[in-house]
Amino acid sequence: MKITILDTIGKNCITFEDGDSLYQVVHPELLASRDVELDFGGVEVLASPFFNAAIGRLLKDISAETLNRSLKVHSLSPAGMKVLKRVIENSKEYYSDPDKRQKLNEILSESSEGE
Amino acid sequence: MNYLKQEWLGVQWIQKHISAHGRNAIVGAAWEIYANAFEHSHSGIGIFSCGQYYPKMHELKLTVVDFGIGIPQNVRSFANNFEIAPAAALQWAFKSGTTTKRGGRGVGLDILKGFVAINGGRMETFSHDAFGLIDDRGERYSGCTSHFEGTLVNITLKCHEDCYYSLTSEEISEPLF
Repeated sequence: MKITILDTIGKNCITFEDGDSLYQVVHPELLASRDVELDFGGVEVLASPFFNAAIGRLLKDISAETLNRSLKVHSLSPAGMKVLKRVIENSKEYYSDPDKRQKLNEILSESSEGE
Repeated sequence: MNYLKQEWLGVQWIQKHISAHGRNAIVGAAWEIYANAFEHSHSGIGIFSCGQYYPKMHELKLTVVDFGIGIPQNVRSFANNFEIAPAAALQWAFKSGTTTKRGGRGVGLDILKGFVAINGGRMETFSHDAFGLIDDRGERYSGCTSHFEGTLVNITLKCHEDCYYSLTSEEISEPLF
């Protein structure tokens, strides 16, 4: 599957919500062992909430090896690539440390319930 | 987003001297401040921002303010340790991998910090009883005798295209994950 981000999201890829909508399309494809290509041509502004939701979360249940093989990223701006690499680095650390993740999730859950 | 693109970066000098790539990189970095404020501040009255371009100094300034619970309090809640000193709490927040509320781990402040370092700019943060300064001499954090009831982030970015040359050198030469 090839996804043209400019058409599906737009020229600003900055919010968690937009990242989540992309994740909802990409995640099932990858789980079904189908390759995915993301074309960022024409996208202007990128930020970490978008990448956290769209790509960082994939590491929760898909290995880095599988993602390297099956998920291809094209035409991403240099600035966007810097942000994406940072997000992936942190996501790998997050999902590789179950104790820290559990503690974080508990606290965030309490925080949400208190709102 | 329109404010950042059209008002803050829309002046003629910036359009002339900084490439579209550079302008978009600046907007993306500035958005990290807004995202962080919306995500964490619990501000009851929203977020305020203003910015200005200083042509003689070739500098862009942007200030984002919220009146929320503050970064030190967020960090203390996360660590379940309400004795953490203001400077230590702020320093922790600027390390990579600090939290977001919804999935994954936040890297916004870390990315912004890296961007300011590349740019040769300056970033000041006042948050309740803590103050942080990031510039070409490094990072300094301290407690404050006065108390600011919220968080104020003030960034100064240099407007020379040279500042963004490094942004063109990134290539996908190795596996992403």
